[in-house]
Amino acid sequence: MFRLYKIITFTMVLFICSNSYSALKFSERLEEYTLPNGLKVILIEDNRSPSVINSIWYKVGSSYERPGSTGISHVLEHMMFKGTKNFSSGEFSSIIKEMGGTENGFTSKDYTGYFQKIHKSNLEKCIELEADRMKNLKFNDNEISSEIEVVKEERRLRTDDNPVSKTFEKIMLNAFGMNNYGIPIIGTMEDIGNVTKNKLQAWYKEYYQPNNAIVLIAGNFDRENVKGYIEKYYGVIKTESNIKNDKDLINFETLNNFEVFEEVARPIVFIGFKKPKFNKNKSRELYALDLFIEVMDGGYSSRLTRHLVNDKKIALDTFISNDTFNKHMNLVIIGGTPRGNVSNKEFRRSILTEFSRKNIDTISIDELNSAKARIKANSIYKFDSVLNQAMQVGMLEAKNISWKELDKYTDTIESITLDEIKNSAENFFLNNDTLTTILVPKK
Amino acid sequence: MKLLVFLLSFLFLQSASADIKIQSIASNNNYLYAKIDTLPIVDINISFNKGSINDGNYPGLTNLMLNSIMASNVNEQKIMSFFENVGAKLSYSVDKETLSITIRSLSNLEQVTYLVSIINQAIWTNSINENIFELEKAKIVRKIKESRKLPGAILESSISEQLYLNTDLSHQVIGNEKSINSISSKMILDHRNTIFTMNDFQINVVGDIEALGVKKVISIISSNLPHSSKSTENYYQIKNTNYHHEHDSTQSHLAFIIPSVVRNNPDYHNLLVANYIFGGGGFGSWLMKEIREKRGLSYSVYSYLGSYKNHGYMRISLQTKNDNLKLTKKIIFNQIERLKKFDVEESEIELVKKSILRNFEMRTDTNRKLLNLLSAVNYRNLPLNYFQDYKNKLMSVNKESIKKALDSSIDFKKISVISVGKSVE
Repeated sequence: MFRLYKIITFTMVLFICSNSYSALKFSERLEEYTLPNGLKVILIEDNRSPSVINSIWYKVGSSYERPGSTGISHVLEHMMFKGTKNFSSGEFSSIIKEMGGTENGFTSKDYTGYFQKIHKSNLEKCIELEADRMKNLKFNDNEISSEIEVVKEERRLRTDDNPVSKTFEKIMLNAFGMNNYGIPIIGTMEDIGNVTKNKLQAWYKEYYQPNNAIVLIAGNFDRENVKGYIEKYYGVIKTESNIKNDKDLINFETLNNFEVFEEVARPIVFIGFKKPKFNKNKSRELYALDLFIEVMDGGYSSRLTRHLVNDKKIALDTFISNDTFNKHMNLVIIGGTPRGNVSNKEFRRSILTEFSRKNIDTISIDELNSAKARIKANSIYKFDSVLNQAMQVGMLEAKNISWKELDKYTDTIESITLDEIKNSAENFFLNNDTLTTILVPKK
Repeated sequence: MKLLVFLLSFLFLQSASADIKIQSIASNNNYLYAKIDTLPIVDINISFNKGSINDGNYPGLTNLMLNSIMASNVNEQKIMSFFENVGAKLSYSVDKETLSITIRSLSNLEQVTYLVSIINQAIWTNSINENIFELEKAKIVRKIKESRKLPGAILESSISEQLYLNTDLSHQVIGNEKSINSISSKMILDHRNTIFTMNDFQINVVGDIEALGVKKVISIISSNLPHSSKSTENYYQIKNTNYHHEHDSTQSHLAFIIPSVVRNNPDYHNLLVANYIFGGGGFGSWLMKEIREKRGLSYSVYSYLGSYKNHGYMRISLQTKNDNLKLTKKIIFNQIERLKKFDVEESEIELVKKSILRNFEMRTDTNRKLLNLLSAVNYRNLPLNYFQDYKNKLMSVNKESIKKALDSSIDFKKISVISVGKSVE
């Protein structure tokens, strides 16, 4: 289990015990099965505390939407707290509160999820409540009108008054148009205002079906009892709809360069690279790319910070945004803020130089090992929280990617070689067009 | 330097939730430790009871000092790289009254003590590299400028400036541009000597580590901390004000601040229950019901009891489109009147008490959360039988005691209202 290695630093030899613990595996604590109605069930046991996460994941989010109805998945998420045939509006939340539990809902590009964190003794009631709102949601006109106003306020808070979020929205729209990941999760203000009862009911009926959902329970529970509760409350729900995935691509034009003028103190440069959807058969190459990105910007001692911030004094800060398991084509975005009088053009050129063949070829084994150490340690830290475990597994499963990839990821990272990350980086960054956006301070 | 000999006084405290034992190491209660060996992780929080209130004539000095030191090199290597190379995490922050350094590492004692020794060397560096220093200043100045653009950040600075005018609490932790630009690296090292002292030092450790290991960690970090004379505590009073900051945003951000009591005041648990019903309990609380659920006026509305070392307050916050600012203010004033009367059934109070208690029992379900709890107990000087004490005090709350506490421990005559946004005719 233990392995020691030595790090030599300039003047002194430091003896450090490495983080060579075996990575923790989901496979050691996870069971999955499917009910006859198509509902997938995942149970993750972790008895470190008496709490348990009850969650459900529906395979629907903004990437399923169309212009005119953007944001509908998110409005529906809000409506899920507004009562059913059996429980009045707000009653779900009141019951969770009385239990001392916490709860939330979340909408992303690929899924909509709900969870409660409760004491293990309250798990059955939560399963009952969650199953009830899969089938029996009530759509009250007044509640819809009021909740639409709440969602508009949420958009103002998160996007309209936030220059960086607003710019990200524009970057994605420019790259993909009103298709898949180009559609803003919260929706456009106009579309939010146009959500109707009929649209919500149709969306609910189409996507909130057992065969389009995953029940995921993580934490402290009695396995056999929980299986019984799931059978009792979800097993009786019939699947009544087949999902129609018949979206045509909407035409759009992508600009290779554009500027956004907002109230910011300093410019921010964003350079996007289109990344194909996750392909299980190419996972080793994709994980090598992840490792390369970790080498470049995984920490404050990573390459971009060392070279551009500390040595060349070109940047105030840098960042890379990347989703390993993207269901649709996505963007890897590299960026940062130029320092002092450095022009945006010079800054962009300096970033791209870091991704040139010449520079990629200089990546050292020490840089690779440091990146691996961080990824491996994180794979252990994530087990500190049962909610985090549920989120990791749920996010993959809801994109139709098996949770097994999480275990595979940690194992694969360990065995990836220097040549592999160089090849993967060169294949991706050197054979790809750049989409540049500059967020410019408004005069 | 004197190597401290620690007396292990194992004061086992039974958590109301899991079987968590909090040990106080040494004869005072500044060193708290909980052993959790279910994961190979150690979390350490090192804190000093000094913050931006100790900036003196240079707003932002303490924050710039910590950032400059932590961005520095030890033996020509970046401090952060020692951590990142072994997958450990280092974070640090300054707030108004504390400075805090947090480490998360895999639980290898040699690695943990080594990383702590790096922090110790960083703190006692003899010089600050001028390039690093200028970079940290530039980053902070950018943050200061950025904070003038966002309505939420403007609200925070307006609250401090208006409520604590001409006191050490009035400026933001990050300071102001003029002050930051006037600070030299020598001032940083001089200031460092006044901040990192034995008198202000506290440590909290959670995870897969034995008590002897914790002692070793403490001895490393404290080995060269000087003793200083006990600093005098200033007593601040919240000024009563009504202030609007004009800003071109789609929403107005609004805060009500009402003077109240500190965290360890005997009335605290009464106010906690009242606040839960009023606006601290999320969905179903009065504020949430009236502002979001009934009228759709805001995405987020809440109230909480905040506390500095020697004074506390109740705060209500929300954001709403500019057109609705006047209406939401009116609703909040109405709900405050309702709070003052507190016409609530005993049965509802009993339900809320149970809910808070059950939630409390689940608040320590991760090492990170337990570390935060230990830090709060340590910083607030809460009793060592914290879990039981919390439960006892909460269970003794009733309608009469709440009403009494609302009368005596919240100063409803001094309600301050601060807003930021675009005025509407």
